[in-house]
Amino acid sequence: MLWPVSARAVTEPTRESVVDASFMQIDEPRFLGSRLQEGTVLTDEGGRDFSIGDLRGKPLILLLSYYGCDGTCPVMNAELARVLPRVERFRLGEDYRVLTVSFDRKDSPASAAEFLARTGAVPPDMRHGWRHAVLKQPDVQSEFAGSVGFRFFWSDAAAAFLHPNVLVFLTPQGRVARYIYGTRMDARNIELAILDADWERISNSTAVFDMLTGACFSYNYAEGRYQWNYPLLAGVGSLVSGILMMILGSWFYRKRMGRANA
Amino acid sequence: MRDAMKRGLAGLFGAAGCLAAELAVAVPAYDGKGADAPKIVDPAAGWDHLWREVLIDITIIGILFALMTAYFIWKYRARGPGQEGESPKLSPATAVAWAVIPTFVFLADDLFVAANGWQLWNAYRQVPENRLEVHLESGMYSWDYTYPNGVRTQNELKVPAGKPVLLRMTSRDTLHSHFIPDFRVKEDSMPGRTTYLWFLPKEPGEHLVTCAEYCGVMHSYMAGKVVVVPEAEFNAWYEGEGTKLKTAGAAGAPVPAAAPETAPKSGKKKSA
Amino acid sequence: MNWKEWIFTTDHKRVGVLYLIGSIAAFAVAGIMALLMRAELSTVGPTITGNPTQYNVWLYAHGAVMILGFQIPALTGFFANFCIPLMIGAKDVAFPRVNALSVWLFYVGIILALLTFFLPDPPDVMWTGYPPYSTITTGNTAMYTFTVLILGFASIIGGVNFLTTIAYMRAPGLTLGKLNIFVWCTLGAFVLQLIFVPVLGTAVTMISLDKYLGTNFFDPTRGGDVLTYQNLFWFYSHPAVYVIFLPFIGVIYEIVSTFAKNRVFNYKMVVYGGIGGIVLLAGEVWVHHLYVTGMADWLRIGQMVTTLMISVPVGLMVIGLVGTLYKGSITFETPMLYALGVLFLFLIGGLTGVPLAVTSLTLHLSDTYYVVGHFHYVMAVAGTFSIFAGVYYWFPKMTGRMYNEFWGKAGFWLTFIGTNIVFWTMMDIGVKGMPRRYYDYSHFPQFEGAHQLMTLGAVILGVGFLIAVVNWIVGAARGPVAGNNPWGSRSLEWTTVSPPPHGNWPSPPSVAEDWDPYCYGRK
Repeated sequence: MLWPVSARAVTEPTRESVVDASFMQIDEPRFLGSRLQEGTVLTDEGGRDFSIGDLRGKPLILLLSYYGCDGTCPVMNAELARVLPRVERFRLGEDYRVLTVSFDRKDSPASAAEFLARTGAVPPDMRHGWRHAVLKQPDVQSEFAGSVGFRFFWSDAAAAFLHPNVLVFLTPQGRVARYIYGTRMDARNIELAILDADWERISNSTAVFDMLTGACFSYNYAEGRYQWNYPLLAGVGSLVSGILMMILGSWFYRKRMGRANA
Repeated sequence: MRDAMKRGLAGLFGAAGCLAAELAVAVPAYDGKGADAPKIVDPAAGWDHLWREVLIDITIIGILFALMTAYFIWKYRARGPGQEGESPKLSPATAVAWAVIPTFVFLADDLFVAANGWQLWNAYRQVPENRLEVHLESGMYSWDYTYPNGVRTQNELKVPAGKPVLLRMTSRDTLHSHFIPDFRVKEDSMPGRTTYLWFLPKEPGEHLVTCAEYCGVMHSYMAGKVVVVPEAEFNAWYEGEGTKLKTAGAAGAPVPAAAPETAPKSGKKKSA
Repeated sequence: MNWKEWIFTTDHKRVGVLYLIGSIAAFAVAGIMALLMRAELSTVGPTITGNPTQYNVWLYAHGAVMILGFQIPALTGFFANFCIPLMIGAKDVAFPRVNALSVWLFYVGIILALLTFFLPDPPDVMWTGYPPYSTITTGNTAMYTFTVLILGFASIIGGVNFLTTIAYMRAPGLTLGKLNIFVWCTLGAFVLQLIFVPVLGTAVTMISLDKYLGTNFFDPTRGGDVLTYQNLFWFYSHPAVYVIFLPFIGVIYEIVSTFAKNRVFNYKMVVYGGIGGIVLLAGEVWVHHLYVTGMADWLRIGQMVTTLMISVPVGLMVIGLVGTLYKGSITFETPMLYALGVLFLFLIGGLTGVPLAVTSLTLHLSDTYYVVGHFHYVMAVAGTFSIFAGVYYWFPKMTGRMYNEFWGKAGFWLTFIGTNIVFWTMMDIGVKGMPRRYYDYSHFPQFEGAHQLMTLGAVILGVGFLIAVVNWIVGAARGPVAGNNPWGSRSLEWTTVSPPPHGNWPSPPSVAEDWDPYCYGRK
């Protein structure tokens, strides 16, 4: 009950639409924590096969697009490519990966390469950590997308797929940790979402700074962005004021005692 | 009279020795990672074992202290009016010893308990790979389970015997806690967060599920059950329900997944 | 006696007595809530009310009033007020008017808490007030917030007052090494109170802002986080357990030392190891209240270790108590019976806390009657017994008269037996799976017999407490004159007349070089 009203319209309709937008909302509480099938085989723009299981071990940003798109898909790819270099805490390829997967059954490795060439959305120097892939097995597109709660369908009126514009953040184990919506991206939000996805590493290591950063922000489901964790900050503030009171008190005590003894 | 105190000290030393020995046994047994082993460690059995161990531990300490106190009360009762106690003033060395030695005895016992607790904790948190993963959404006042193939049940979790079951939990309104006393496990479900718990149903049978986190007016009526059935029976039911769901889905496609069976009962404020 | 003298009083002893009257009244109300709940639970299904909310309101009132309206004010309000200036040889507290303000704030707080029963929608959020329930319930969460804020504020200004008093107003020659254990304990409790109360105040304020002003501090859909509240709440409320524990064990030290006519065993160990250790560890164990809430694993494991380590200072304090009996000359008047009862109850309560410190065992035990039984033993009943022990002990000093020894002992044995019936049974069915905060246990019909036994025990317990309170009232009005030092204690408060006049001593006391409050055994 809290969720449907709060999840904001995830498509940003560019044209007149009769589609019930709620159909494409991701039911976040249901899909957070769910996992991609490890055995799923994909083929990237260079024709190389790999499986989802091969991507384990690092956080993954999953972007579902289709390569014949002339609407938001190139925008999403380009925007992500624009923002990622500004994520300073993590490096693409070494610390995390990005994977664009097509949900259009007509797409092929060739059309992925063609998409990259046509739109120029992703500069070649980012390709080492960012693949554009298609599912190798035919007709599993909706199942694959559905496993992270992503739904889409073809609209004849628009002659395009209608789908949410969303980045899916997966943990090193391939579980959904966070969804970030919208065609406008913000480096800090991406960074914090990667931090969330990478929580298992952080909680098992001495990455104190990452831990503090993670604790200081909390995710706003309604607006799809991170914000300061106000109650925690207020709590820490009041604790500090309590400790300051004690320190001040003992300082006065020392001072008065010193004067009394002098 | 001084030797009573010496005896006390000796007793404490003895206890420390025993605990150190126990610790020496406990520590090598602790390996931290049980995940690689194909054998499934059942946390519920581990719970019963550790519970008994800790119970023995605290009973011994409790009886030691109680006997000591009872003995003192009887032995040093006042023999006449105006009499005063005559405990000796402790020398600095004894005073320090009486602080340091008990500290180490207690710390040794703490460490022993903590090491065992940690080991069991790993069993509770490391879920076997070969498992049934069910999504749970709790709400006021029901448990709504969703199986991997989309089958939904309410307040009744049907699982096959002998296979670990993982619940991935969230809540749509207030806090709840999915408590299965028979499997010695509970974990809160909260809005905006995903938590998990797992258990190993061994034999066919029924087990009570209750809510263990105060969630509202009908908190005490929020109950369900885990129904453990033989694997074949489960598979038949699971496939059957799955097929039913698919045909229903195909008839009215494209239909978003069915609405939850219970209408949310509160949260007026949020939707207003 | 003029009532105006009491209302406008700034005398620390009268302020203390006002605290005592208020907190005993709160205790009575919360105790009646407990009896109502026990009556409700005496059968499966609805018994005396058909409305679960009614039960939840009782449960809320029982918890909140017992902790915030009875134990903390009685221990840090009454005992601290009455005893500390007398024990350190001061004429009064440092800021007598602030002291009077704090007691009247306390009265506002408990009246607010008692209004719970006259409001159309009383709070039903439990004394923990967890969101999101507390922000969506129709119950009056603001009541909860205001009660907590006012009582918290009263307690903070009391804390500042006493820390100043202990720091500056000790009699000449009374060095820190000669302070009563009780004074040290209260010092520790007030340090905790000053550091941690602001956190609780912030947390409960944000709850009400969320509910009434539409902020989203704890609303997960708007960037809030329900777990943050629980962390903040327990960040105060676990140390609050020590705010209760420290003064009560201090009272027990005074009594045991007096009735064993013996020096406190290893004074420095008790002060530095026991009290100091507790103050240092108090703030690092709160996560053990959140073992089943999906906190990060490293936090749960880390705080399991710190929680178990609490056994060290607590164990040292118990050793100190038992050691004080060694080679004593023990008499068994009512205060001593209560004190030994506390020792016994605390032993059970403390040791049954060990399984609860272990994260993995708590996965089963958390939120069951086992927890309820444990914290009643270790804090609730042990604390209440100490308050009763202390009131009996300082009764002659307070009133100048003596209570009735026979009824005192009768009351003790009834409460002691009742307590063990109720809370032992509670722990037993808790291990078997009985969850707490249940209005109806229709899923656990096998526990009906145990619940009936507990109801019986609760009645015995109630009768015992009633006898004690009646004994005080009768004793204060008609008891025989007690004399200045009926127990033969060496502590400073017994050197003045009973009851002490305004200003406590005719001429300021000073203490001898070889005096300390526990200097027994020297002829």
